[in-house]
Amino acid sequence: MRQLNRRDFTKIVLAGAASALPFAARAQSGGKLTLYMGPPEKTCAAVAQGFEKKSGIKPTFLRLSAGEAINRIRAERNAPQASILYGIGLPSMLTLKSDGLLEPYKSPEAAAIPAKYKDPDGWWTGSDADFIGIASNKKFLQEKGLKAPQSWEDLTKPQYAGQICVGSPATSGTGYTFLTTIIQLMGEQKGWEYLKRFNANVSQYTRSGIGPTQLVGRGEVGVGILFAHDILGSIDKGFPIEMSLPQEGTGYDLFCVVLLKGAPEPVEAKRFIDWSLTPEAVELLAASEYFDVPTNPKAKLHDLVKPYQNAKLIDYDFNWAGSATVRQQLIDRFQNEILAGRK
Amino acid sequence: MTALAAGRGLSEPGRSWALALLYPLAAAIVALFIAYPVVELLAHAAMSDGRVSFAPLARVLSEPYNRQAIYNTLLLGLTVAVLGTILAALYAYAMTRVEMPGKAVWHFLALLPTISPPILMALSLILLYGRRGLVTHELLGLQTTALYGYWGLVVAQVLSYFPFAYLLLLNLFRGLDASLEEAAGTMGAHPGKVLATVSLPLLVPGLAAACVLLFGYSFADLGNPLLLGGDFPVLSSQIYLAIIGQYNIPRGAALAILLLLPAALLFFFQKHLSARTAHASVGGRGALRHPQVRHPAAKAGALVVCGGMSLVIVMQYATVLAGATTRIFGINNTFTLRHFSAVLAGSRNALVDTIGLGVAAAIASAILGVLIAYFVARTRRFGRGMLDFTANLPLAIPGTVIGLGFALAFNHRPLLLTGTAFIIVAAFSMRALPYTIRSGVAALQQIHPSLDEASTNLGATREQTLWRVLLPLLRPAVIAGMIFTFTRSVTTLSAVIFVVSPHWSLVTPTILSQMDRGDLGEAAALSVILVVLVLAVIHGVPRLVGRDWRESA
Repeated sequence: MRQLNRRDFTKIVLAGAASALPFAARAQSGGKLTLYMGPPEKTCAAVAQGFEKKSGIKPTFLRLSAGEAINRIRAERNAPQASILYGIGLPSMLTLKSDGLLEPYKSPEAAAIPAKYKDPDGWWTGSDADFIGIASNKKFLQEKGLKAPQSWEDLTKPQYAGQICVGSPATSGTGYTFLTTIIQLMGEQKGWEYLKRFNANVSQYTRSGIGPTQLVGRGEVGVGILFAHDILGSIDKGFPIEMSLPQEGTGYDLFCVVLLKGAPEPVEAKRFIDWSLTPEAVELLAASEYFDVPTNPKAKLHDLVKPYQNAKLIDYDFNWAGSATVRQQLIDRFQNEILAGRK
Repeated sequence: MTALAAGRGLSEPGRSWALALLYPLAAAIVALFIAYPVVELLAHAAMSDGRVSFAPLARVLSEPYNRQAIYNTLLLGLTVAVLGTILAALYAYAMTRVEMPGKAVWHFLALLPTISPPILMALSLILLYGRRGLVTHELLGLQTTALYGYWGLVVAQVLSYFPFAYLLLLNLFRGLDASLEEAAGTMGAHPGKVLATVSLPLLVPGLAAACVLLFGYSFADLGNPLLLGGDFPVLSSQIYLAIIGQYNIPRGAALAILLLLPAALLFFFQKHLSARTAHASVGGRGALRHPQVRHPAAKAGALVVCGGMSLVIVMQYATVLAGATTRIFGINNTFTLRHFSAVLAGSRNALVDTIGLGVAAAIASAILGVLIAYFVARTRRFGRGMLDFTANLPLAIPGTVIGLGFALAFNHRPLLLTGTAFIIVAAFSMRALPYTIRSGVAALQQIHPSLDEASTNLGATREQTLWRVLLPLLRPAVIAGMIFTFTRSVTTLSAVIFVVSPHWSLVTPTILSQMDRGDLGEAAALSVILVVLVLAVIHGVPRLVGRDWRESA
């Protein structure tokens, strides 16, 4: 065993320090863009690549859930790391806006987008929308001789006991959209009563909203409540899943692109927003197996999405659902009245 | 004669200006990166509208769901502590007192969980016993969610953390004074009576220390509760959810304080117990070899304990390896390497960053650790007790709490570190600092001060003595500290989950998000790469160290 002497030690330290240098240099910007993105990794990569090809700007993205994104952007208030938040639902964007963490930008490309999908002052612009659907495993339905659930009420029937999965409203955007849809549709009192009956059939509230896709796809549970893009994505991959929509009407979310306050790369960020609203960009979503409905009417609809373009949607109140106090109250109540009783 | 006198004059502490400068510097670093984040966290939890108030704490305590989480945390910790200690005691006893084959293998396997991220246990448990697990679903035809909750967490945590208790007890068993037992035996007590009246009373403080240690690990674990928690909320996962799900930092901070207080109490209790354990074994070390039990029943029992436990551990790792090399584990078992290629394509940055930052942290922690060890063991500078205490605090603080404290403390000027590599390196190295200090102090205590004096007498300054005489002798301790820091850094999840950024992604949070998405194959492949990497570092950085770094943990 060779003795490591002082000089060797110095060398190791210097080599270590030197190897850290390129890391330190990487954080600087110049023809670069840093994004926080909500869609699945594959879609994020497709969008980032598409933008790089078009603009020559080098994008770096971090995929985050809505909650992670908000928390991070708040924590970075004094030193924003990213310029863009992309593909996160409108309620979260409204939370950020009320925190003063957004910068308005009216993109010329937004002119093509219907008024209800964008903020008149440019605080947020919706690039794609998606609604909540019910995913049923076909084998499960066959074995039990059931039809896919046609209504929210169907989900409380005893046949589905222990067979339903949905993202937890406390941690997932999907779960929160589900919760707020029920409250808006049925009203405060009846809504909570419904949630208690519904809870009796729930196998698990998963941590992430997309979690139930795998569970339903592999037949671990019979029914999942998910955003339609996740359901259609699994169908596209060949999982034996059927999608149905509740006849009472379902809630939806609008996935937006926003410019973050104090963006380190404002010029590049605006170019990204402009590009992300074009038909070419939103068509990348379906191309990367993320089946949303583009808000830009000029964009082509994917065949899988077409049958659902006239889905019955409730008039979802984003301002209510996006308010931080409402969110806190709803989640507290959900945890204390629904989750706390589960064993 | 005169030259010698002059030399002594030069070496007076007041003249060794480099060390005089380094001391406040080291103290400042410790204050800034250990004390300040905790203070900041306390401020977030106990302030509202700029005034000191216990309202956030009271609100958190008033909620049934949080009370359930507190109860669950205690229940889980207690179960893991008791079960883990029993297992560890049996294992350690078999290893030290029973003659049986394959001891080196049993030892290696028992320690394997110490070098893998705890979420690896959750991953393999899901693959084996989940709703679609190989054992539960394919072999037994069950479709059960029993894994998700109390029992799944107990198993995952016992497997992850029992090795630490095992090491503690192994040293204890080895150190017990054999002559005491021998004396009892000679005076006519049969082995059972010797065990009950001599050995066990000597072991009680050690067993209690192992319990407390396991309790602390269970408390601090974040990965397993996130993945296996199901309807069983515990405090560490509630902190994460309060912040990530509800965007509520004061609530997260209040919950963090609820987790910190008992963890800190436990730590000091354990320290107290360890001090007593040390008394129990004083003078015994190596005095007499313990007689090895040769009774066939004892041998069989020992083999069952060690073999059974090792088998379970091997199963865990084999499952992860199988999960990484099959298309969809349990459903389509065709061999494939595509998960590895997907990981190397998609998560290469995470791997490179993790290694780079881990190495940087190892260097930082080693340098700081040696300096502080030197000040603590070799000098009588003002406030060194305080420095020692603060630098050792990270032992008492759960990773989630450190991570959250860092995120809160360094996101505003003048200490704006959010999003930089520096904050990650700092979080890594501060968490490992107590270990590097401890191994430095232990090594320094074995070097007789007369060596320092000789060097000083020959005219060297204190810096020269430290640099030329002590440092080469400290080398094994320094390297052990570096390996420890690296291993600990690349496998931690809780401490970094709040500080990763787009420019600096790390492996453990990546595994977590892969599991969230349901990409179990990729998560398994990345885990395999991480385990192989750490094994290579531990065994490949050749055995420059006389002992296993984990034995000082």
